[in-house]
Amino acid sequence: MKKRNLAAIVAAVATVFATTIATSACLWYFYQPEEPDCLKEN
Amino acid sequence: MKALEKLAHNIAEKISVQIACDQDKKAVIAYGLTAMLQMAVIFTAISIIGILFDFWYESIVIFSGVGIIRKSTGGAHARTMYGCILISILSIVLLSALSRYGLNYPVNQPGEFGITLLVFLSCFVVFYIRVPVDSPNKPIVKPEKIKRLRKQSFRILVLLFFVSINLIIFKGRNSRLPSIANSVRLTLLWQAFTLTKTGIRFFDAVDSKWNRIAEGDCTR
Repeated sequence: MKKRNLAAIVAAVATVFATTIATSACLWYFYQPEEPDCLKEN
Repeated sequence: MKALEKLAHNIAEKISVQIACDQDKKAVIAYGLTAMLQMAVIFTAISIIGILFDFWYESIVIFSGVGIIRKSTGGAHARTMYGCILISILSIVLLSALSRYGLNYPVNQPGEFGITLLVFLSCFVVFYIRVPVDSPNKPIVKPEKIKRLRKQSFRILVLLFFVSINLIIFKGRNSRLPSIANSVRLTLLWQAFTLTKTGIRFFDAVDSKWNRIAEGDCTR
């Protein structure tokens, strides 16, 4: 149960990060990995 | 440094099993984790070097400043995470050392205002001509997005201009403020440079060189 909660928290934080990046011009620094298709609309 | 991306994907894989999510969601988590790991590695490296050489504050100002500005301006990119992390750490360390020790000469207040105005005007011109600079992995084509990013960039530029002016006005109150003001100006100049064609070529050259060294081929 604890492991599942931790996974959910990390997933939530990572998703917030990913969506924030999707609405901006690029990732935080000088490397830009390919964006997931479902984020390309932003 | 492909290991970092692989690590992000492995963690995303494990999380997706735990929370039972689909492929799209897994890709988003991996993408977010890649960004978080990239930031964490750069932050840790510059913090250690910054604390050792007593320019941690300057490093953090440059690290945050470049990151915040890049989100709306875009700019030159390294082709690999390896190149990115090396260029980031080297540039932050060099600029911080320059802010703290290299530009530490006394300038009167009007002189400081003049330098600041010159820096911001040059950046304004570069931003006006070049923003946003996209990358093949994240092309920016929507006119609304371009307009929004341009607006954001100019807002951040104006905000940093006022921050700089305040740092100059209150520099007598803390001996660290002049070097922090230097950091803000250097952050903007460096970011403006990464927007130019020369900056993009420079990144390409450094990135290729580092990648060849990393792959163990120093002959080319």
